[in-house]
Amino acid sequence: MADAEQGNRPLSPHLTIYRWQITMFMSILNRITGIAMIPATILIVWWFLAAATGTAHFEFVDWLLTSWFGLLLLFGSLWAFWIHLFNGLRHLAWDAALWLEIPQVRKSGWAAIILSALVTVLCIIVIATMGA
Amino acid sequence: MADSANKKRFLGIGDHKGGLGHWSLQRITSIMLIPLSLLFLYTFVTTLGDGHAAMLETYSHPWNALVAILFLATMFYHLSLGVEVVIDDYIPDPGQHKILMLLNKLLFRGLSVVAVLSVIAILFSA
Repeated sequence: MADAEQGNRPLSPHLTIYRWQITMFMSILNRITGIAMIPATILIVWWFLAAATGTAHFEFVDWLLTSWFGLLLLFGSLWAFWIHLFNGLRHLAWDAALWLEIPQVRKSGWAAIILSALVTVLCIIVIATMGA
Repeated sequence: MADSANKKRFLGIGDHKGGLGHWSLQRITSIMLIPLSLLFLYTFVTTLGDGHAAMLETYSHPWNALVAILFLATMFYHLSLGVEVVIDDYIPDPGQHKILMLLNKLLFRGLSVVAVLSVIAILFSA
């Protein structure tokens, strides 16, 4: 961290200078997806609060969540959820000293992002055929 | 520069002073959230958009209410632990750091309490 007392020391090479690779991409994405799900969690709490306080209030929040804006946010959050879950499984595996070789770390990273996309599409198809 | 001056600059901004506990809780909540989030997601997706009566029916079932309560409480705890690490990483100023840590706790514990109380109210509404 640069501060006045230390003068103008050079910073070590950072994100702007590295070639992008799956390992750093998944690491950054884990944080982004975690933070990105916050609006959806707040809306879901509102949905429960509204259900507990009255029908008119509930119908407004339920309408909001199933409007094009709400669905876009929910399906976006669903993708974020699957990324965070599959990437979380990688972290738990590493904590158990599994899949730690670099080729395995790369492979599991690709697996997590591809699986998250596939499962999200599958969820959308299932939900659409359910008639939501 | 004297060592004592160096040390002074880092007081209050370096060590989390509870790193192992934080790390363990993040893992424990993440493992709990694997089944809880999937179960909750199922109840939520099958209920959203079906109207107030259907929603009350779903979450007045004790099992669904229990899943919702455990999921929401665990998820908000896991979320606040994650946000703490983000604050640790990006906010070097000790004053701002302290305020944001407090706001993080207030916001997500508040949401957690509101969510759990709402589900309990729904559970006993039927």
